[in-house]
Amino acid sequence: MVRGGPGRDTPLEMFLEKLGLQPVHVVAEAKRVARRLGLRAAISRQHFGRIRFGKASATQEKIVLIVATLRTMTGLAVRATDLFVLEPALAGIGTNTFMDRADIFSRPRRSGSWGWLVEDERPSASETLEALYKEHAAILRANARRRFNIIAADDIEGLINDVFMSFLERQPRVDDVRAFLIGAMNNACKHYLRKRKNETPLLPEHEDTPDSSTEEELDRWTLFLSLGATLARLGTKCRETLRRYYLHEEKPESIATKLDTTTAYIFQLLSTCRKRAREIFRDLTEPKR
Amino acid sequence: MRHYKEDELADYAFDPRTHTEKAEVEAHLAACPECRDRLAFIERIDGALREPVPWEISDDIQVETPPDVLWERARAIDAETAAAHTLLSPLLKSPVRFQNARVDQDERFHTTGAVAVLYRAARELTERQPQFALITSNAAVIIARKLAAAGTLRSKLHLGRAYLERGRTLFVIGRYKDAEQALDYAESSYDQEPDATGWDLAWVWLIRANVYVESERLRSGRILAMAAARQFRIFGDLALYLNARLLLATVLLFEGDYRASAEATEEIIRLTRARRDTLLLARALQNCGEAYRRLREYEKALPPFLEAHTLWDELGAEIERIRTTWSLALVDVETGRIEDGIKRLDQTWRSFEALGITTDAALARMELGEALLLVGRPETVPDLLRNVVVSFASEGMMRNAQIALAWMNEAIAQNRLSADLVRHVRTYIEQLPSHPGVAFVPL
Repeated sequence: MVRGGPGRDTPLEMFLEKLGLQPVHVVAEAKRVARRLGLRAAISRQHFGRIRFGKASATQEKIVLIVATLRTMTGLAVRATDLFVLEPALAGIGTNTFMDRADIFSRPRRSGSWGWLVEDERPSASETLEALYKEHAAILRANARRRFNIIAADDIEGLINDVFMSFLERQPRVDDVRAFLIGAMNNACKHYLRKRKNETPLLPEHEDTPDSSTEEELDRWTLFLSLGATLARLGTKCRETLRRYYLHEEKPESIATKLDTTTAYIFQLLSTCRKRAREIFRDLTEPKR
Repeated sequence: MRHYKEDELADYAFDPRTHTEKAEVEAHLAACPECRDRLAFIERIDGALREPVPWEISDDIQVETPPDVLWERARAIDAETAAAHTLLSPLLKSPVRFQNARVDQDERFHTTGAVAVLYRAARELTERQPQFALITSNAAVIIARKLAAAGTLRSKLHLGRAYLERGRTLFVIGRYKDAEQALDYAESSYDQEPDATGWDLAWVWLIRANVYVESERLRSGRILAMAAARQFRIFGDLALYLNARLLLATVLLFEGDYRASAEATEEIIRLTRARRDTLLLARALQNCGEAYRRLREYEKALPPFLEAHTLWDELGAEIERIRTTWSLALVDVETGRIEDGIKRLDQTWRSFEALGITTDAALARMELGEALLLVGRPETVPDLLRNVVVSFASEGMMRNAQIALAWMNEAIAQNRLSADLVRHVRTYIEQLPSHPGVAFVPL
């Protein structure tokens, strides 16, 4: 019914390669998606491999599943026509509609995506460095240690220095410097682990580059890192009250007893500290120009 | 509908079971996506506070100062960049002066700082002086390669960047094959550089996607633009993320899915307004207007076109302003305001010609000819179209375009000019950059 296209260069293969997605992850995610969609069966690794290289056809149900899976994994509005050479009945609007239209006049002349051209004066590398390092180095360290399980402190410092050096070389004008540095740190950690894979086998989630983690995974880590930075900025009283209530699951009454105060005050404190944490979190994560 | 304040929602989230207004809050939430979003944010933070990882991270965090090795690198970058600026700034004011200086052969310019100054200059010159941008990015590539071969380039990121700017300039000039080759080199430089990230590759993909879209390889263009958008989002580069999304919306337009394109650009316009990115906003408005024009929803097409026109004026982007005038002319013609359309088309081709943008001037002239023929005013058309000239960098394309124009001139001489005939020639010339090998076939 449907072909992936001849040989290895199928649209599906190109998509997986450019998005840095591992087939094994796609197949695993497809199982979850199939359950959510109530499909009878998911897709086997072998079948997916054959479809990927254009050696097997995919039923309409499998196409729906693959498209839904890739949407879940990437957060992109992927369409079936992006991934498969479909027969007209399945393809919907063909790509040549534009060429066949009966319009009298012409098409827009330029694809219209050149809005980033002119750059303002950039600050010097020395001006950038101090604030940047103070603000973000600790987060990068925590990322290497917690997310990638890198233990050697000297190696982590080396990786952080590399990330800052390449940042200074590029001096990119991005909205969210934290996200940029975390992305670069993830990249550096993956290289580090890959080089040392004889000593420390790479976990499947660390395998790919550029960043191919699922949206869910990325969001989770971004949340943890930003919340870590948020908690570090909270006052001691707030930190300890929130830690007791949320992490240690202590009852407000018990916290009140330990802190020699009233339960009502602890409730008030929890409300104020949660609010303060949300404010700091927003301040840290909302793009600044 | 009264929305709940964040504090009220936070109280509810703290313990929904015992909240005094549980039923009212839940009824409101069922009907209010805005409050649901706010509650989801509160619950996300509360939920993450139960996880050990953020607490461990916060315990690790300490304020510190950069180590000496980073200070040394920062100072080295600043010193080299300042020296390169001093040497290059006078030369970058004139293409002739720049070429005469032969910077690629002069060792004073053989520094990583000079490479960076050159490719950044190329980036700024591309739209205004693309040929100058090309020689500037070529110099950046040559110097970067020499430094890389000698092992004195600080980072291969700069070689990749130099190739990237060359690729982008070649794309703007319309030399798509050469652009693709430069982008191949950029990608391969990044492949050899461990510090290169998804953000660096996303730049290559975005430009390559533009090349693909312009040469009508829409599916490949779309995939690359999606990949680029994803990496830009991950790396917090909202401006480029929106650029990639605008390209995706353009693909939809070219595929004929005008409704989806209009919806996508509306969303980009909303996000761009919030960022006050005037240039991107103007482009998105132009594309949005175009999508609505194709849908023949002219009352929706006009406001974005008019706003884009004003923004181009503000930005001093003359060429883009003329293009929007062109679009407005088409709206006029298609909505029956033929005289206004004819006036605007006349204005369009004359403005292009005054700026030396020969091929677009020729296309607008032919469109004016078509409009005049369609409304039964053929008298001035032969004079209007007799001396149409086009300009293409490639000899083959130039020859093909001249064959098409010669055929139109023959029709003028034989007094058999028609709107269909002019359209046939115009469409052929318009599509030559994306189909350079296709020979002209007379009607």
